[in-house]
Amino acid sequence: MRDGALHGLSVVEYSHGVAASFAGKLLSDFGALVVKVEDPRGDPSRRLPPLVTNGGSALFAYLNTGKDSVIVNQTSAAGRKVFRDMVRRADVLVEDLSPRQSRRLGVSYHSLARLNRALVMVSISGFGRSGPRAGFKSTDLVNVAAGGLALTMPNADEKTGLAVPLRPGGTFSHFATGLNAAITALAALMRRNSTGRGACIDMSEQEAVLHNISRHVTQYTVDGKLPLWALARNYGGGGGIMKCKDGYVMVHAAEEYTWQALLDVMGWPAWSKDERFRRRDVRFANWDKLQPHLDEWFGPRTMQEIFHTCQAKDIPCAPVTTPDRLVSDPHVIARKAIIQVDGLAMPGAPVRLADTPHAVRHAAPAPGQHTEDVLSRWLGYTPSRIAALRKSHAI
Amino acid sequence: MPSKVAASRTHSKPSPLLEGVRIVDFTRRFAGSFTTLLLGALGAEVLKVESQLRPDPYRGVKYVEGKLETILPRVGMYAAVNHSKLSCTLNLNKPEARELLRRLTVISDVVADSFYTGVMEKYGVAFEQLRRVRPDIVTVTMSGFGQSGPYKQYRAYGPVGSSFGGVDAMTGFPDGYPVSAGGPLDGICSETLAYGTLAALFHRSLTGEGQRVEAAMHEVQMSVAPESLLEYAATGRVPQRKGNRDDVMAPHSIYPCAGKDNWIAIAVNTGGKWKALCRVLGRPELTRDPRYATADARLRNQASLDTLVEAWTRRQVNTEAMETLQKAGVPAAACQNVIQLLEQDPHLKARDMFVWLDTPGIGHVAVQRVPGDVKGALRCVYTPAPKLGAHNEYVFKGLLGLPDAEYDRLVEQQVIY
Repeated sequence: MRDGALHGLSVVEYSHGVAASFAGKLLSDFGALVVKVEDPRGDPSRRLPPLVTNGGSALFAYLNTGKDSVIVNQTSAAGRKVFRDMVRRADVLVEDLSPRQSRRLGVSYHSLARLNRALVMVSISGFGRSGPRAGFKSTDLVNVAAGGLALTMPNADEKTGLAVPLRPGGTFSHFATGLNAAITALAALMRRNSTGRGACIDMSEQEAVLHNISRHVTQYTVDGKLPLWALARNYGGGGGIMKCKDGYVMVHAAEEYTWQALLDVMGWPAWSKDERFRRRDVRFANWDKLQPHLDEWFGPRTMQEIFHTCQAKDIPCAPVTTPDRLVSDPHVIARKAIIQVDGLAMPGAPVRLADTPHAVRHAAPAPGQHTEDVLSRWLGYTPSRIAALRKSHAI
Repeated sequence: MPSKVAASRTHSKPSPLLEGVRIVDFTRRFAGSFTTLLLGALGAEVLKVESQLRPDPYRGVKYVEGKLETILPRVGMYAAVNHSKLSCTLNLNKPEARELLRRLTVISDVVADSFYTGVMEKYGVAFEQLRRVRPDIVTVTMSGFGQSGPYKQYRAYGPVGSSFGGVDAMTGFPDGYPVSAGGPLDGICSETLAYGTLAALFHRSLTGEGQRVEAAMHEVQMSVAPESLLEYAATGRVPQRKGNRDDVMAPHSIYPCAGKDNWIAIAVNTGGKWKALCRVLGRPELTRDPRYATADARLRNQASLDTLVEAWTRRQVNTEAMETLQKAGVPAAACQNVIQLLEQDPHLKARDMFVWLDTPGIGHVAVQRVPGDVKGALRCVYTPAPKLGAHNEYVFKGLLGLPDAEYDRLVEQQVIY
């Protein structure tokens, strides 16, 4: 197999959270060497649900594919020196320490850039490293609230039209943050390759969430309107999630011609000539009258039947897929969108590079699985030096 | 001349991160445009190619009987996803326009599109065609279902991708319909494609090799919301929707506060934070209550726990409650709407997270900085969304070196059009 696009790049990841781990995974699966530095107790994300039957974390297994685990005891001076030696050789450091931990361990851009001027350091936190809310505690729910996403979910109360805040399934904020960390790190490396100058990146989960909805802020500065155009079942007057015989489908006839195509698929029922349902804006306003007519058509049909019938007419549509159906979908199978790593099914490539493909080198490591390997091969430590570090419990 | 490259060279400050990268941009609407926007703000020179005959639908204008007419005012969305780009026009029905396009790609690094399969071939700018004139070109495509597999011709917008990819099935309350996560979340597809583009550019900078980069919306959604698939794979169970609750944390919800549309998110993830919350609620005796003594007990008794918390939040204003709770060490945040984010959040203000751009034909609009560009730390570049063809002279005379007379002829003959 070809080397990944980021072959030759070395990354140190010292983290406890999902966001930093996902940033490391993105870099690792595209070919970078990612050294995951863990404390002697192990990364706490090893215990994140969902858990497999033997007690290990399936989420950890996904987030840490291909990484090399090194245990370093950073409460000892010798351990901190090992960490600094790694940073000296690394292209990128991704970390999510609290301000207190950073101070205690001396992990600051100011001190580390003196060891390695070309270092690109990404610091991940809920609210960033500066400003009046720096250091505020955060979780995914807190991030999606603070970043404005929870109130932008198309979940308005159908009677009052008021927004009911909702968190998207999963832990969106952490993944969005990890992704933005990886993006800015790579962009900073592009500049470093031509100037030799590194970068210090302050990545806030609130701002990464906000980035995904900030177009609504821009829209507000143009027309003064809040984004409340989509309800749970009335997606802007062009469709939405419909209940059908064996589950749900999303149909999104956003343009007038796709709506016409949908009417065509439904055989131009009598109600389609009703003035209240003619244009998208009046459909949106009269949706509660329209919904029963739609239910009549969608209700007795299966997800697959609706999906393929609509798509044959170029109507954007898909089943609301649950994981049991996802694993057996012919398109997912044909594109190998789900891969098996050590017997566990997980999502494969998020984006495809034709000549340097996404590849999982090995399964998520056991704690400290690569300590000797990394110290001898990457840092060039002698066996006796490694033995001494082991004896003093620095590693 | 409105070149970001030229402008930045006059400063001695560190250069923008992607200085020297040039992108020919055919993207339309949201997902593709947001990808090139991000690369543009990071410092790449993005040349958005449209024509008077087929402008980006987000401009809200349409060519009707010889002139442009406003049809649907989505200009706010247009301004939001097309700032930090340059605009040029080519009427690709004319062979001379296709030749100019070929010359533009020869001096560019990336060609991006969000068309359906076959459109780029028609214009002569598909990967294999471009590779002949520019061997190290990187082509970038945003597509609904991807460019291979049985559904490759199927259409999708963000909401279709999040339904098919499994996110929507997990979004919403357990007793209600699934809720679309796709509208707010399709930005993640753009960010993922931008990541892939940067990885390809990084590889090219070391090896000189270009390649094709492609993202399919549902696969992005799967990669950033893997939990339900992982749970199914690990246990054989299909997980249920959880609303705003969590598998391990409790209390964990979004609670109504005093007044209309005023909500706060509170998430308690340790015993210490539970004790701190009890003190804030003015109910220290609850720390000894066996119903809530352990994380498992709190999960089992979430319903009564939520009632207790709500009794307190109902009397609070969310922003003040957030400060009080955070001061006590409890993870909490006001649910902010766009007005609060833009005008009231003191933290975003201190970090200078919005940039105001005087956008021709649209007005004074706010756009968010690239995450990480706190107070301009990453030297990102923000220029207003351009009017159609605003940079034709720069692109065709400046970059391609067309003489004035030749340029005028091509405009006259509706090639540059």
